[in-house]
Amino acid sequence: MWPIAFMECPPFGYRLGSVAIKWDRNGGNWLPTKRLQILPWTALSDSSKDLQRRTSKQTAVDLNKQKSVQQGGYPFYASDGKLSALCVDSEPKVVKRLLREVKSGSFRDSNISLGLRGRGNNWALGYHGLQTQNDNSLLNRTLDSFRKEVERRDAYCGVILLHSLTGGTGSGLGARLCESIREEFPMGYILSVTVAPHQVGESPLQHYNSLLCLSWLQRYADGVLLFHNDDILRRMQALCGRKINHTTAQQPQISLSDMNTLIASCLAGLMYPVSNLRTRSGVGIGLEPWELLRTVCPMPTTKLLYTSQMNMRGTASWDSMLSSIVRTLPRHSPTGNTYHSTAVLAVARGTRAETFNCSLQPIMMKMKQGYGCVSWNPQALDYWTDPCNIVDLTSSSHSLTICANHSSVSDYIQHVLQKAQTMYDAHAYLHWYWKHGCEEGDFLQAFEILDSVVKEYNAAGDH
Amino acid sequence: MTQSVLVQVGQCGNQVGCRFWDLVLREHANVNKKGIYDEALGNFFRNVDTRSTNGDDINLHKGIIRSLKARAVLVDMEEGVVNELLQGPLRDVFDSKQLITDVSGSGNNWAVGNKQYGCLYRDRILEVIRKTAEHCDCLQCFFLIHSMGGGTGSGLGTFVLSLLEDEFPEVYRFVTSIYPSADDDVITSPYNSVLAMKELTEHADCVLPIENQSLIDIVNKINQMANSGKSASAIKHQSTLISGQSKVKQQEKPFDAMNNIVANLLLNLTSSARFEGSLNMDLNEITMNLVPFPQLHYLVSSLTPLYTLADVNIPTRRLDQMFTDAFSKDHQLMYADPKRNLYLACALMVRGNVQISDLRRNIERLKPSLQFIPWNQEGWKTSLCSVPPVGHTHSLLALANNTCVKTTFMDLKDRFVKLYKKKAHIHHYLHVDGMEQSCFTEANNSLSSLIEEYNQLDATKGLPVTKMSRLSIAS
Repeated sequence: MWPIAFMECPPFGYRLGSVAIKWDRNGGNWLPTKRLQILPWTALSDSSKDLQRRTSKQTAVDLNKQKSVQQGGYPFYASDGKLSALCVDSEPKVVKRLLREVKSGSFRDSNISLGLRGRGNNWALGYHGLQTQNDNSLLNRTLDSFRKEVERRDAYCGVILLHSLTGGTGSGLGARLCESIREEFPMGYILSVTVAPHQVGESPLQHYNSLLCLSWLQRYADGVLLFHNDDILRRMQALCGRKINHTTAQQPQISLSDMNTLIASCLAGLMYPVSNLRTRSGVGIGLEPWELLRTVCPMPTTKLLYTSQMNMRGTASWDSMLSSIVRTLPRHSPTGNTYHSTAVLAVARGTRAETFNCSLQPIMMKMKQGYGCVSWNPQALDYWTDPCNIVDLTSSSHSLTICANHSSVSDYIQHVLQKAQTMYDAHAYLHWYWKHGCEEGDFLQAFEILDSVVKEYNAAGDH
Repeated sequence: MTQSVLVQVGQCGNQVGCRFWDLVLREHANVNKKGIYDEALGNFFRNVDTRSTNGDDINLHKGIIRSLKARAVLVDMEEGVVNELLQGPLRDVFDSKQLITDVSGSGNNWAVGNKQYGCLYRDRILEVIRKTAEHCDCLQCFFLIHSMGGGTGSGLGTFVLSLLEDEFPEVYRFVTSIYPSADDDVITSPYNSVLAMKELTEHADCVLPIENQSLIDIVNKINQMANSGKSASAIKHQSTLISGQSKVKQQEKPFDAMNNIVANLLLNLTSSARFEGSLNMDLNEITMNLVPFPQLHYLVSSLTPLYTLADVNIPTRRLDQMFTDAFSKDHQLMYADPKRNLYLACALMVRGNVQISDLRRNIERLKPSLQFIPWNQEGWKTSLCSVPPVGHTHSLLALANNTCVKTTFMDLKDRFVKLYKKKAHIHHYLHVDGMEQSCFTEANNSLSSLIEEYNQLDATKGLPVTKMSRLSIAS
């Protein structure tokens, strides 16, 4: 019942699955670090000495605080101590750097599948692959490794796919893998962690790639944790405590690594074992991602999820944490409609997490209002708690991670549809897609599917 | 990791190529302190053991650098330039088997270069290129460097281009073309250029046109800064866009400064493919992202900064200044006015210590002053490479697919038509076997239709997005 974390590193350098924790001794704030740090789950099975040796150049995490953490690396490790994760990329630079930065031997060698040429930001090239390779194609190698990994499990429950919407590999190969895994393992869950690009433009092809990939995810995945680069960058800048000011020369430099850290910490907040789902003996069996899906996706047609997180030091004030999260939520669409949520899950972590239960009523009320929970779902709100705050391992810190099926995502889908349609009507860039195996039907189908997603989200509210 | 092969054709092509190899070695020497043959070096070089007795070098894929051989093919119908190369400091980087030379030159005649020498040397060229390609595990790209005004560069160069398309259709072809200025000393340069343009439009994946006059202006600007400044603002040694390896100024030949700029362009273009960074951009992404229609693949390039100040007490030029400069006319490698025209797409390739927040901030800042075509308002492609060029902390290469190139093409067409109306010098061309008058008219038509496509796109400027009907762009 262990989840398999599937890390797909698109050519333009997203590396997820790491949490960086840095305690700013001067400022007294939680700050993400600038460098890629240890995988959170690696911390479980390493001795503190090993870790400090490896992270001597980086800020070391005080591992003595982890006494409350369980042994053995369950459920993220296989029984032989290797991570149950696969890394796939169509070009080697990013994964090679990742392997250098984590503890050697963490990844199983056969779980690394690399190509040479990259997929050129082209969804079609990512989906169909290079025409010349057949059995040895990147897709087949990945599926082989995946099957072997599944066989190592007693009971396969599902897979988590990490990728972006902009690149060729992340969006194209990601879509293909989603489809193939669904075909081979129809009963397993597929949760995708998807990173959407900056709206102002990361690549002229991002609209086509996002359109096609999202339509595939809508068909084959069970849930999509959507993260937007713009959002993440804004949150990072807010965390660094300064407002965006175009005239000042001094700006905090925020790297992609910092942004990835924030995403990874949201994921850790949601998926690390929680008390509610542990066995009676306190062992986490890795049900969190699938319970998340079961809770937050009540309807199969609306599965795009929005995640927020707040971490605080000192005395836990769940109320103030919730307020800061709710404050950043978009409330109204540009056309004036109020947003709503069909379901919300809050995960409270920290040594005094049980106080969350004490102040439950007002907190639930606030969440209901802030997120606009629909009335037709009697279980629109759920919460989990856990004494270990994996997001920030120093003592006396607490974190609140909230995942919601929020209808603001329909605006984003609408935006993608509009941009892609405009470009499609102008016939721009299409020759690249036809060249690598795409057809008009793929595009038309994608337009239809995403159109229906927008309609479903609008219809899901209280009318 | 992928490899690239450089094909330098003609006098100009070889001189620029020579500067390129010099600078690429300098760059890798700066980065690769341990002398280990790594994948970054492997992009342009092979590591060989020259001690083998049967004449064929053994390729070493890992380990210490023994002897580096460039992945290059040098073609020239005159021996002068190539011979000089082989006697200079770079002689060990080239294999005699990579050279194809003749004695008499092409007489500034495209037909001689393309038809006559093309026929003659076709098999030989193919063999050399195949050999070079076989040495590559994963060949991704051919870089062709040539000039448009001469005979060999434009004629034989474009012949090689069509050969590459036939034999290696999956490998991208990037062409760096040096266009003649209006007051070029070669009379027939308009003919040569337009005849070559047709080939470029049809067979290249991506063309980076460069004008000599722009290079001259940049060189003058740098020299002015270097000579007029007081000691406090002295330019850091070797940090200018025009500095080469040699420390003694007299050793530099007249065109070296200009050629160094072109070499730097190629270095920056391939930097993200060679070195690591937080946001990598491979060469295939350049074509995919910047070429919305197959024939419109002409990119205006601009490089910043031109130099680094030597005095470390002066605060390093603000990053934002670098971005602003990239969009100013002074830093462009061809005469054009992209700000007044329509951007189809724009790529920003940043090197050095620049983070994503800086990049986003600058894009937001510059966007209002630039006009993008309605269906590609977010037509930015960005990349971050962590290795800066030699002598700089950061640098930026901007590649723009902008309709302003049509002005250059229209000028070229005018010069062509002026000559062609009188049929001046045509007989030199028609004497060559395989060359006919129809070649001229076809080339002219091809150029006209290219200009027309750009005009059509320009017509959509300012139109509201929803009212646009389906554009029928020739594909």
